[in-house]
Amino acid sequence: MYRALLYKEWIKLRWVFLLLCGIGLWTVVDLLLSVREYFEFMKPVEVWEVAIRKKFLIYSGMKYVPLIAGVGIALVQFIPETRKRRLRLLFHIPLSHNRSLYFMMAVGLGFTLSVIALNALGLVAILPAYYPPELVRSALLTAAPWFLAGIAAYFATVLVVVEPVWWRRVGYAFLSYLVIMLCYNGSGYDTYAHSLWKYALLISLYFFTVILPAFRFKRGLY
Amino acid sequence: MNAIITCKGLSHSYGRKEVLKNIDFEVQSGRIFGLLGKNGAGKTTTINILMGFLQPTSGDCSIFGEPSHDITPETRKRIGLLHEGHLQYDFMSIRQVERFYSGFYDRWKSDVYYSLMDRMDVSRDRKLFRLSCGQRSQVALGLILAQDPDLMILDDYSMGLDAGYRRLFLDFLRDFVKDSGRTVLVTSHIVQDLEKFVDDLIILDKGEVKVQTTLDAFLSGLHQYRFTVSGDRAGLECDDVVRNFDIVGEEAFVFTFEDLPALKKHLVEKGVSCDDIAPEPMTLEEAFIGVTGKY
Repeated sequence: MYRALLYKEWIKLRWVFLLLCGIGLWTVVDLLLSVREYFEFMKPVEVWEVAIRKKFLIYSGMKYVPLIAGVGIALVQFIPETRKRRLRLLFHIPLSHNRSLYFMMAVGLGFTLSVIALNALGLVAILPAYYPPELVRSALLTAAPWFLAGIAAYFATVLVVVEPVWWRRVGYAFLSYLVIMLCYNGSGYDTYAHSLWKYALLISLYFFTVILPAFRFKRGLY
Repeated sequence: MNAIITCKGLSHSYGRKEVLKNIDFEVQSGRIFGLLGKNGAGKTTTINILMGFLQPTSGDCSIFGEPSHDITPETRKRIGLLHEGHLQYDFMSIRQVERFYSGFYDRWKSDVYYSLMDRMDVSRDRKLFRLSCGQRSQVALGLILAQDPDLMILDDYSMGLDAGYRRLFLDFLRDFVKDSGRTVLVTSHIVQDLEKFVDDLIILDKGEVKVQTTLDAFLSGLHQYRFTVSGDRAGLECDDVVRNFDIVGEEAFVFTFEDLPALKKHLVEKGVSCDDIAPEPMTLEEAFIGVTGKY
């Protein structure tokens, strides 16, 4: 049964996933070219000046890729399920309602994380060839809130799309905007290094919230 | 016989608008049950409550002995549900949607599905959103038949279908349920299609049960009489005897469950002149309109 559900999600998500991977790959290639250009046309001291003193994040091109991935995947996955109240189809298949919803979200999250992983791998693969380990570690810690923003964006978009009542949708969208902006507030390196786990915990709570609008949808309570 | 579906004291309101008023009915095993009513009579609301997609204001429904708001996955496996408008996953192709659903049902019959699909001259890779309304209805029916359910619930299967597709739909359905012991609950606002299909019927009008009986009892019990009148209403009023009436030109058509002498006596007592009163044969659709009225 879960294989059948996975098959349905794959049909919906494959093209947008490929497109998002393409965008992710493009930012990785852009990072590689930028780093090579720096080291080719700048003296080492200038590179150091830009990277450390001016705190220029050479990998900032991938800042919003996780966010776009989260929103895009959630929209493509859940709009076809909610248009014309099509969630009724999902709720009639012989599978627990909660399990089928959580499974769908796990699949969507998996696709989002894959795009994020592509960016993270790009950082890990490119930076060590040019920068010291401390700076690579710092880059991952600096980019981590952006990755968390992508996860939050996925859950928030699912929540807004599944919610059947428009004023609740506006409320969820506003709250989610605040949560996501928390992840983009830092400037420079390692701003979130000591509080990252708290943000991760906050965002993980999203996973359980979607069941509430889904329940209201199912019982026609709107 | 045992009841597969039971609804007791079912009421529902959307805001202040009461759409179902204290409805009771049962669907017996092995019967084809028609839930009839005009648009907005409460048919889809009843189906949504039955399938747990809507919480009623009051009352209870159960299917296979389980409360409708909490039907277990095992029981859902036994129910083939056709949603209003032949709702399906439009982003899938004919082949993909079959592959998807086949993963959920032990008794899945691909050959039944494809025998229906092969009647359409379209590729199996055609997406559902590219199909016509009639073709989509064929896909939705094929999926339910392939599921091989014990109970079929068909919510307004006729919506958007021309006469040919409606006939095809019912022919397939009739063959499928014939001598199989399966139970069907069907709703429709095109009543004449169901004349040779349903065993039992319930007629809803403005959220209330107008008639609940077998089709044969309804057609043999309800009578239509015609007589000449003068004046707008000619003194006619709806009551326990005169269930409904219609005046066309100088002719009055009265619908009643009473026989001719009883009706004539009643009309005379009410001061209605009906010297030339005579029975008028009627179809199920005419009987339906006779009970619910034209408007």
